[in-house]
Amino acid sequence: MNKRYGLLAEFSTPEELMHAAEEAYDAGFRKMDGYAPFPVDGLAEALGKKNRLPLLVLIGGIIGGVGAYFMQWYANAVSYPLNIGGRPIHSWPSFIPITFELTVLGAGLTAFFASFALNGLPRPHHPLFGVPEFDRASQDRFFLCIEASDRKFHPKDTRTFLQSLNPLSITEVPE
Amino acid sequence: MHTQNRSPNTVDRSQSFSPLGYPTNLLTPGQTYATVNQTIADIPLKRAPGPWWVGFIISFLLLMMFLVAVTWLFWKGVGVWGINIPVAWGFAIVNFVWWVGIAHAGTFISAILLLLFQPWRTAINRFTEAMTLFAVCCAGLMPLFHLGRPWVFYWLFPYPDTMRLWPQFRSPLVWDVFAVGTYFTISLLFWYLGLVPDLATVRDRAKKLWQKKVYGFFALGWRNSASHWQRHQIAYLLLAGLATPLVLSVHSVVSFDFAVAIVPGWHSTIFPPYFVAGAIYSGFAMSLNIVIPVRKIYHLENLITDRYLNNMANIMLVTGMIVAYGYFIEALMAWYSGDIFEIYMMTNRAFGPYGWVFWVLMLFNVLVPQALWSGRIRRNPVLLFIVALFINAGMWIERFVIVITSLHRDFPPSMWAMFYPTKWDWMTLFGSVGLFLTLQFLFIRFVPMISISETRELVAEPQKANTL
Amino acid sequence: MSSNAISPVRRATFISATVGILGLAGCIAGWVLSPATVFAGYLFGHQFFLGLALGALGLLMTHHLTSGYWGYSVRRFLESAVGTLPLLAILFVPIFFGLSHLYPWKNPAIVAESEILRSRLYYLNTPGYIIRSAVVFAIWIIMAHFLLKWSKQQDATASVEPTRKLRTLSGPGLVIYPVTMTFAALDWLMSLEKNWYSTMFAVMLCIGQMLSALALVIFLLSVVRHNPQFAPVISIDDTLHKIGNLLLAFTMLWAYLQFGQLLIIWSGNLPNEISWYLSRVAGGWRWACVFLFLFNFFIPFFLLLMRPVKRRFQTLASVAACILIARVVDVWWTIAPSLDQGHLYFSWWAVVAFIGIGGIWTAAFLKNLEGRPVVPLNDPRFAVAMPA
Repeated sequence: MNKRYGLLAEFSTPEELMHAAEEAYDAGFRKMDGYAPFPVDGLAEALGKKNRLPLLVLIGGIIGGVGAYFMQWYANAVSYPLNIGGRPIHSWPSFIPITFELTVLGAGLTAFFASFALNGLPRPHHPLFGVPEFDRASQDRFFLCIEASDRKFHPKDTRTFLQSLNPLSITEVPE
Repeated sequence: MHTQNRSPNTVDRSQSFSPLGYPTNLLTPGQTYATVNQTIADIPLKRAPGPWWVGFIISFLLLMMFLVAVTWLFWKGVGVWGINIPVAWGFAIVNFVWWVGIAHAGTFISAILLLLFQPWRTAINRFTEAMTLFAVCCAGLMPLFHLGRPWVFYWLFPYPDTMRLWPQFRSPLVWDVFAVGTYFTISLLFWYLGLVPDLATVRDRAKKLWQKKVYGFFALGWRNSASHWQRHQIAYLLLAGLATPLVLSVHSVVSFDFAVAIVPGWHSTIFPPYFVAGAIYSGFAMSLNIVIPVRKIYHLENLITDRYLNNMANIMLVTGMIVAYGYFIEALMAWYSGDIFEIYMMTNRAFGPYGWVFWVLMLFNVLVPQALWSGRIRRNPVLLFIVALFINAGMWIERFVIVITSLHRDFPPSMWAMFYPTKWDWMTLFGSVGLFLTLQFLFIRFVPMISISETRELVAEPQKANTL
Repeated sequence: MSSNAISPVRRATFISATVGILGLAGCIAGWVLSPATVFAGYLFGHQFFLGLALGALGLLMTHHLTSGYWGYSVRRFLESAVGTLPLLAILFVPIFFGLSHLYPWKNPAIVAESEILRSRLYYLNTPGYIIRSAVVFAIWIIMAHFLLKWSKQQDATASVEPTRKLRTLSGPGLVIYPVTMTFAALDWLMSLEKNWYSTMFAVMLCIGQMLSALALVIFLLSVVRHNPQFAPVISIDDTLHKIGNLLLAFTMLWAYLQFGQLLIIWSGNLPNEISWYLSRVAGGWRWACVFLFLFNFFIPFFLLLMRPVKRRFQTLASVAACILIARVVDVWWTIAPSLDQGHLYFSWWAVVAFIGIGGIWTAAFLKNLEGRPVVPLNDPRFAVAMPA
């Protein structure tokens, strides 16, 4: 017997997808995701998704900034103190630009890598790519996939539930 | 392709101009998801049109000239250039500042307009972000060439070396390394982050297996899921928020290279904001010089509407006026300071041996761009292209004036000398244009040059696309 | 204003006018008792309130050009502030009588010592000062006049003509504002110092003025938020968020310009330039710098980075109030160290002058608010800018 990943319902507008997502959440489904060719406002919230990215980015920025200032202070004031034109050994105004740059760098690298890591990317293959219609998720169609691992998932009942949302099609996604 | 799309027909076709007289459409009415996908995503999948080949070959030849100039430079040393003492900073630094400046429009359009929720970035942000990357590449090479011994460039980085020396962090030249390095990294991440969903579109539309594989590799397995989009959007906004002060800081740091020194003509507190404005000015000019022909060649008038051109011209006008204010305040304060060196520098700049360059600068950068007050010129692609060319040349000349005329007459008259560029100087300058354009042409050929997912958003929300 | 709101506004107008007149009377008394301190305080008070009016002018023209949605909710406040420019011109006249108490170029002993000052005397002199002041005020008043006139016309007509005119003036207006301010800043503030000059000074002042004005209008918006007539422009929390972002941008811009000037002058360390900073960190003024860093930048910056802060009236208004107080300190820090060098001081005459000018200014501001609809009418871009 082939295992299944979930059931995929296809819609033609973002509004229909949004509506389906809300219904599915109210029906008690949690392990599910919506797919759209552009970010649909509020869809992730409707599906009950949360994210901690801003906090990580803040931490990344602080590490970058503190690290940068420490590096400059250590290099020019402690490890190898150098008198440049009579400026103080610990010249804080001169240390600000690099501190700023590395704060941004730390935060930016965190934002980029954390967003992909939290998304589980890169991931070259995924069961959904096995569905030919799914190519249009990146073009002009809107999908809702309820995963088989959801506690409330039931091959028949879930299909009936999705049918009640009037999708263009319902496809079973093989594992 | 069969599609059942809602809404594009609901756009009021008559309203392409607001009652106030400026263009309002960001998207020609009648666009659907299908037309948008096809127009943008199929360019990388199909053969390149003829004009692309012409442009690419010319750029590539220029790039080869660059290679010759640089090889000769590495072989002989910086003496092949026209630099001397006191004019130790010649074309390399002028080119560096010029290219970094051009790099600024990309991030300005992408980040600042995104934060301001200005929808008129959609069709141009990808271009200009790519432009940013390539311009930073050109810029970054220049100081390396100027090092004399470019192979030891890594001395600029703080690493525990055997002599236990560190970079001198009070020097703006070291700040530059960090500023330009950070700028390149963040711009690259920002560009790629925005690109991933579009690469997925190209992957899903590709027919040939190798195309599917290559685009699939770079799309990283993007699935368009709501949780992907959510993190993507937040990361994108955060990067935009970070990039905005970064844009300001990078050209400010470049301006500190000059302003922190006490050379008259360099040591001026207006430099940071004035450099930033100049950078955005030339960046928009360069964007227009690329966008206008590309729009024509690839028939993208439906996506890159006149409203974009009009708004970009407006930004050039604003930043151009700030730059003009910079020229004015420098002259005014040189006089007010009562300092003989400041006054001499200003007189020499305008009426000395390089005086004619200064007046060409005034013509190109201050006088010609006044044409942009006219709405008719802002919406005429050909005239706008010409004005933008003037501004690009003008901004290069501005850096020439700042670097050369401030240096060539040092404090004691025994330290006065003229700077005459050699053919190697010119070959490096035009060759770097070749490098920039070659990269730009490759980008246009292989990467979706307009953000497809954002354009689809405009299709889904026509009222957002067409406002007054 | 709605009918039940009339009496509190009227009462506030009356009270502030009374306080203002008392304050100005106090200044006259001070003129006799301690002229030098009073003129310093008077210039400080005037510069602060002029900053509000000019900052409002800049913001108003920016709004007309970009037609951002944020502007509709605060436009009346901006216009009322701009409308006080004629009053501020009149209030500037007393300064002409105190030039010798304020400016080193009026002090023969200092002029005799300084060759640079002597070389500037054909520009920095009493008639020149008065003429240039009159000219810049005239330009500002003319711009304010037309901006208000066409805005009134816009309220009354459905034609787009007034809107077009507002845009047409605002473009060049945004060029004229910093250029005129450059000459004003040079005469009124930069020449308080004997030798000092900085090319960024006027730009920094303009940004400071716009920051003050923005903080003021945000604060006022939170005061009137319960007025039902404001509902259409402030019901969407996005508006508040966007104004909050604008405040954040101006705070950052202010800090950026201040730091840029500091870094360049500190690194150059030239005697004619560093003097400005030396007198501004000496003898306790350092604490004013720390205060400004914290309350004009650091604290507002971190608060405004947080989303919830920008989405609630109480929190955003508190940040705006904090910035407004810091702006007062900034103006004092810009002016006072030039006049009494050596140590941090705070003069009661400055408070009297500040209250005097502030009272009259507030009365005029409130008077300007009366009789206008609280929300702009008939702006063709308004309906479109308004999110559905």
